[in-house]
Parts: sequence; structure tokens; C-alpha cells
Amino acid sequence: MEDKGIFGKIAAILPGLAFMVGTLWVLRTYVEPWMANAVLFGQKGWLIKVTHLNYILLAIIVGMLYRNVLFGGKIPAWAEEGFRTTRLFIKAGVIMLGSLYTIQSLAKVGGIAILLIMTFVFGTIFFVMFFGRLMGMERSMIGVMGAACGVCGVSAAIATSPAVKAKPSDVALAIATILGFGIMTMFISPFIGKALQMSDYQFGAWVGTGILNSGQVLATCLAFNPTIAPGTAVAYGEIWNVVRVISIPFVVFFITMWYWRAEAEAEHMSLGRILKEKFPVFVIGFFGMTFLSSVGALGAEGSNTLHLMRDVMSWIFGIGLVGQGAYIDIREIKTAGGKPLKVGLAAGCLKYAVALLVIMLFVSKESSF
Amino acid sequence: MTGVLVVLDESGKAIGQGLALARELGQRAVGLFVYERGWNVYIGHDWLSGSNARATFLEYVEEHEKAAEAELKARFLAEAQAAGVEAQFEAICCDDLEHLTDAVIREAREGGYGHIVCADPLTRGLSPRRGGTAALMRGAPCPVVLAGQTVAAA
Repeated sequence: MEDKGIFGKIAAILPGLAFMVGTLWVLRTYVEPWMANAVLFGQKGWLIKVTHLNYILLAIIVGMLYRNVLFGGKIPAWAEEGFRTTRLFIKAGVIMLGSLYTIQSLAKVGGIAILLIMTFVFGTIFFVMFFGRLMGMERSMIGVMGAACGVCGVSAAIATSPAVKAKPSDVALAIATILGFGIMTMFISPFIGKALQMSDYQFGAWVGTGILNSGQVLATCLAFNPTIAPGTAVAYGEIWNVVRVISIPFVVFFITMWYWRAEAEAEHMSLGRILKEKFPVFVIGFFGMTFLSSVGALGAEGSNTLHLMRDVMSWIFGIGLVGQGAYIDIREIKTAGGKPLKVGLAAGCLKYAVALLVIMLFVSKESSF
Repeated sequence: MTGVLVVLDESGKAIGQGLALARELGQRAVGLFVYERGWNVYIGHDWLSGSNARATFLEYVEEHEKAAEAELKARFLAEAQAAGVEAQFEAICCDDLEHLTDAVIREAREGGYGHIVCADPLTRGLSPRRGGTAALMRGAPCPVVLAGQTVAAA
């Protein structure tokens, strides 16, 4: 591939990036305020009160429209490099989210988060192993679907598939299933949360446990409550999410051991090697921010620094989610099918529903933050 | 326009029918293997895993593709020899943003082929997710023969 040099790379990023930033600016400056004031069915702000649309959901929807309608199913070359920065934006935003916590507050909710996440992660994996075998699915695909449904969707699927020698075309099928399910839950969860009058704590815990894909956990929490501050849905949801993300290497190790146990040419992979290869390094940045917040390096609650940082975060997530929407190709998701679809839907729905039941029954509305 | 372009995929369904058609027409057959380059974009939703996990996955896909190329090349040339058909093998890469079927269409146009023979469903890389044979039929510059079942060439 041609080496463009640093200035060439920046120049290649600019058009797509400007497009995403411009989109979010229009949504936040014109569209959302218009929706808040528009009178529909005799009610001011009906669009926001009833549909729960906010700039986060709008960003994803507009991103999807770009990809599937405006761009005809394929991000054009002029925008591709810019849209690819989506990952960077969301990762940077999640690192900054670490500033919403202190070590003490993490210790308070961390216990229940770890307990719930581990129960649901391994519960889902065991269900997929059982149901996948029942459906006659190949062991490699059971491994991929177990990781994808148990931990965090696409990330876990791609972390696991080389270790269990899954066919790439099957992995694509699994990814389409996971994304389809995630998109559905992303749009219906805020409605369910509002209908059941869930608190931010309950909603964050539910979504962080029950939604398969981590990007969609973030988007769903922000759709429920777009405020980024301690005690909001995104603050709780992200704790659950980070615990889940940290478990990726351990889940990959567990599934790899399970897979190779029945294979003749057993491959020996140590937990250390898997940790080195699969550990999501940005989590260290997240905890670094929590440390800075704990020692007061970011200022007290309400300080200008924190206010600015949260404002920046809301823009970073918004821009990232325009890009994430643009990675959703409806045609690709429509082709999900076969056994991965059946197993993925069964495991996803079960996890989503049981998590809701457990949260409503055992998690109080008030958090310990 | 002459020659039969046989699109090779993991099912191998197109090989027999492509060679049978080439023999019947008295033309050469070219087995085409297309390297899928869209995985990096396809897994764009994955923003959590470390770059190591992403790179390992992309390397794994690349290895899988190379193994598939070697296997299909050997099979195509062996079956062509057995069927007495003049045959060549060619491997090409998609551009980064190109779908696999776009690369087949480009190759068919540049090579001036008379027919394309392709398995239905096409099971190469991401093609089943991206319109597969339907996209090929829409854009092909020549008739497309869809191979649904394995047909013996000899």
C-alpha cells in the first residue's frame, strides 16, 4: 500500500471526519432543539417525550441513513478514512468516562457488577454450548457464539475465532446476528426502561448485563439519559461494561481450553499469552482517569475542568456514534441466518429477559454512588 | 469475448460446471480466486478489543484465505487436466473498499470473458453478506451461469 506520510494521512481523514462533526453539530444545534419545541398531536416536544429520541439516537440513525441510503451501502473512499476514526473517538470517550468515578465509588458498585457480569457471562456461554450442540452447530462456531453472546459481541467474536479455528465466512454470519440483535435492543431498551420507570442505576446495570455489544451498551445508556455525570445511566452501564471487557481474555482462554480438549491436534495456549494478545489496553486508561479523579487531580465535582471534560465527552461520543451508525449495513444484517441466528437469538433474548428480571427483583432503584 | 471465468469459492461448486461449459464451447477456463480485503471495515464495530486481537484476527483471515487459494488452485487445475480443458489460475485482490463481486465484474470486463460461472450461493469471504451472486448478476458484462450443484466435468 502507498505510504501517504503523516500529512497525507491527516488529509485523508479530514473529509469524513468533517462530515461526522458537521452532522452532529446540525443535530445538536438545530434538530434536537426543534424536536423539543415542535408541537405534534397537540403536545409540545412530543417527538422527544414519546419517541425518546435524543441526539445520541439521532446520530446513530443518521449514520445508518448515510451508509444505507445516501452512500448506497458502501462508505465512499473520500469518507472512509474519516469514518474509521470512530473507534478512536469512542475509545477516547470511554477512557474519559473513567473520570466519573472514584476508587471508593467503584468499590461500592464493583462487587455487584462483578457478581452479575460473571454469572451472566458464564451462564450464557454454558447455554450456548448446550443449545449449540442441540442444534448440531460446529464446535468452533459454538465457541465463537458463546464468546459473542456471553461477553461483548463483535469484539469477543473476533478475539475467539482464531483460537477455535472458526471459518471467517461463519464469523461474518455470527457478527451479523450479534449486530442485528444489538441494534434491536438498542432502540427498544430505552422504551422498556421508561415504561418500567427504572432508575439510572437499574437501567445501566440491566443494559450493561443484557446487551451483547459494548458499543450498543454505551449508545443505549446515552439514549436513556444523555447526561454524562456520576450517577447517570452511562456511568453505571460503563462500570458493568468495563468489568465485562476485562473478562474477554479469560473467556477466550476458557473457550479455547474447551474447544481444544476435544481436538486431536491440541494447541497449547497459556493464559499469559492470551492476556498479552487480547487484553483491551484502553481499560488501563479508564482506570488511570479514575485514579486521577480519586486524588482530586481533575478538580471537585462541578469544577470547570470536569464540566469541560463532560462537554467534550458528549461531542466525542456523538461523533463516534454517527460513525458507528455508518458501519451498520442493513443488507449485511438481513443476511444473518442459519444456526448462528437461532442460537444467537435464543441466547440473546434469554440473557436480556433474565437480566431484566434479576435487576427488577434484586437491584434497588437507589445506587450506592 | 471468449473464455470462461470460473469464480472459485469454498464450496467448489463452480469448478465442474465451469470446466464442462469451457469444454463444450471449446474455450479456455480461468479459475479466479479473489482475496477479500473488506474485513477491516466489516469488523469496524469492534472498538473494544486491543489492536493485538484485531491484528491476530486479520492475520488469521489472511492465513485462511491463503490456504483456501492453495486448495482451490490445486483442485481446479487437477480437474481441468482430467477434463482435458485448457486452464489457467489467477488470484487477485479486492481494493480496500471494493466488494468481492465488484472485483469479479472488473476482472470479467478487463479480460473480455464470454461467460462467468459462479456458485450459488457464493461462499467466499464476506460475499454472502454483500449481495453475493445477485450483485454479480446485476453488474456482469457477460452471461453468468450459476452453479447450484456439483456437476462432473468429465
